[in-house]
Amino acid sequence: MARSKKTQRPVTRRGFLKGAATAAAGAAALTNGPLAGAVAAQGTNGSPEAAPPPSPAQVERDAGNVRPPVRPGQRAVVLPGSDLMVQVLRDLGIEYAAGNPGSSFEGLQESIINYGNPPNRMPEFITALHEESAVTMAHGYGKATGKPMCAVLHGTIGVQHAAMSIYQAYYDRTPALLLAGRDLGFIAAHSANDMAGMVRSFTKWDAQPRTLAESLAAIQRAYNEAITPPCGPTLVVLDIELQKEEARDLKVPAYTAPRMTGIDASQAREIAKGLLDAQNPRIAVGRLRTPDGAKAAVQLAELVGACTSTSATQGPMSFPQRHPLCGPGASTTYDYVLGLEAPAANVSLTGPALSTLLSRDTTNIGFGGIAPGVSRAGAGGGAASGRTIAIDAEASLPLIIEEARRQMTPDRERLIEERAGQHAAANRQARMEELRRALEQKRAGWDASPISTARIYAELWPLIVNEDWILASPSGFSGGHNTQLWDHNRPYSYLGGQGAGGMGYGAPASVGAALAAKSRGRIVINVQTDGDLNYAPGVLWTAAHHQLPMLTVMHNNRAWHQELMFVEYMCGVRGRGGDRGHIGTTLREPHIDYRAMATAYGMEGEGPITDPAKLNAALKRGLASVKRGQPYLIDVITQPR
Amino acid sequence: MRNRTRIALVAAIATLAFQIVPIRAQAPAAPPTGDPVKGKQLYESFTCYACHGFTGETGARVLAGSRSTTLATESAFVTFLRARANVAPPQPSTSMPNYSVATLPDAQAKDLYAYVKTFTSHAPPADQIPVFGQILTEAQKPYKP
Repeated sequence: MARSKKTQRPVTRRGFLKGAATAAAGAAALTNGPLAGAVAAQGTNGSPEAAPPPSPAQVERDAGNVRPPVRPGQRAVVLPGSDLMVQVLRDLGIEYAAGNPGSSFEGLQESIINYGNPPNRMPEFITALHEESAVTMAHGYGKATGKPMCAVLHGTIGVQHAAMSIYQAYYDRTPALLLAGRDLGFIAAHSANDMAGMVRSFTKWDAQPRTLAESLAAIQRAYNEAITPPCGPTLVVLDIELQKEEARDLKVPAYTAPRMTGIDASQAREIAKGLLDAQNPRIAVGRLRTPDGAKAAVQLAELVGACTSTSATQGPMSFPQRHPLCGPGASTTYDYVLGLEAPAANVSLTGPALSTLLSRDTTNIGFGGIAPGVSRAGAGGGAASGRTIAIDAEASLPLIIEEARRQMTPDRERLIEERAGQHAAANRQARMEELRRALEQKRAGWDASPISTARIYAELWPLIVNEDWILASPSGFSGGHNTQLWDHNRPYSYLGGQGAGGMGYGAPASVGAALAAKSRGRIVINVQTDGDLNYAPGVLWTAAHHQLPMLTVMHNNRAWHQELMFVEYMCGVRGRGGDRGHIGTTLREPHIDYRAMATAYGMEGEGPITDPAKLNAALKRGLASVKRGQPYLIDVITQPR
Repeated sequence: MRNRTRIALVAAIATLAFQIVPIRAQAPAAPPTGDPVKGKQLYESFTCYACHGFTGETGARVLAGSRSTTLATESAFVTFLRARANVAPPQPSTSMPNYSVATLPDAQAKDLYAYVKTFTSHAPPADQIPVFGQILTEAQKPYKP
């Protein structure tokens, strides 16, 4: 199908530049002209009385009731194609589109900020300072909600800036909807024949539609592909002409949600029977797709009285860590084990792995960990000893629950109730014993300066335990103390690691999670390693600008400490001295001032804090700020790990 | 296969190291002979703090108050430092590095030992940390979905 060229370019490039020059001259005249004094006075006075009331036109614009005016001979269209693109995003429930501006999607951006009532909502344009951060925001949002967020990328350069984050979201099987603008006629270096080709090997699906109608359908399909297991980022390339063309009577196509395939009825019967016949069944719960999956896992466990394991301390969408059934249970001799996106002794329901997408690796990059037989990027890790059914666990749960209800008898119900009570008592005892052991370990270095990482997590917990919180930053590099001290009871309590171990993740992922949190009354905790923040600190500005509920506590150990240890180890085995391992692995001389960094980006903060006795009060101040909707950063000078 | 061989070699060396140390540790403990001030400088320049914390109280291996046999005597400590060799580690490691005589002469190793032996734990007992009490109280509350 040939590309639609319904719109002509009545203004040539030269004409455009001439027009731009005229506009610039006009702007200069404004600032030097009679209104200049009024503008300056308004800007410096700051008093509301100094501002003139909005004109009727401004009111209409703010209400989102404005269409481009119809003026014969002018270029503006009445219903730009990008308005329909935004309508598709709105219908899909896309809350946010993050990007930094580029000359290939100004049509789309204008529609996001001006189209609809109210404008700039669903999606709201989120100003990112780097495409890598924009995509990682979508990554964090996706893990916090199970839904895609949109990132908008500019041409070849934006796609390449975003590439690492796209790879990481792909490896992490997180849905994200990426839209890349393409303008073949403006800056040649920013366009390409096959824009998505640069990242095809690590996106789940892409399209470069040739008409507006195809574009609308492609966005819908990209959304569906992103949320269908294996979930992942998808990319639609949107030509600037399609964004700007007159849509005329073209309508947004009806959306059809994807059908998630689960197990069939006979398999469900078999699994339900296995769980109900067992004297001591167990359900191993890995990472499901959405909060609904986690909820269904709880339903099933409660229905059959099975004790469970969880991956809630490793990432999102798993079983509540402190649910009475979560733990080893009254007996660790299990006679039937069902795995939900986790390996199990009897039956494992494991959604399709990334290896099923390897045909898209046309560049033959051959990513480690994605190849068949490597479970890391597949589903939950580890090897299942029993039968594995390669099918989405979440989509299978309703049928298993239905079958279990059907096979339930009063006798079974009595046994299950008794067993569940025994499990609850045993799990509670195990939890308290584990906690006491953990606290005994965490007290090491309690009063030390620099401050121990255990103290940060321990001090934080009583302050947030009654809040609806998300720990969005990976905690592995800061000791992982949350896994023992905190209760990860919600599908989004802990968002887990980076995905592919790429740095520059913690802060932007936390910003993405905070976008989700803001509209849901939650707060985000970001225990931020210093090395990681320095990849993309501009997201602090994004958090401040959009007033996101994010508390950042710096794990400021002034080094990439894991790598410092790697280098020290090599120094040791090669016997050439051990006093130069800091070269290239430390962040000192000069030390970085993170409070000043936050201030520079417009974020409130304090520190550096070296006295552990001052930590608690600082955390309280930070949380108070975050609950007011203002992000806050506390620079804490910490022990290495 | 080669990696497996290397891993086996590492394991064998580590085992040997831990077998040697207890034998030496049986000797009566003698006070350190090194200079703890020089040892502190070495502790920092050799970035020992990366794994053991700046005060020896935190990290992967807590040194303050440790009853490890490798810290029981000066000679056991020095032997331990020398016994960590793995000339071709197959993977990046955060294990305790080896310190040969060329890297850390005996005198310096003894200085380091003298400094490490100054570490003491300043942590209060767990039941005297109010935050821990709050954490335990919260943990005893019934689960709320």
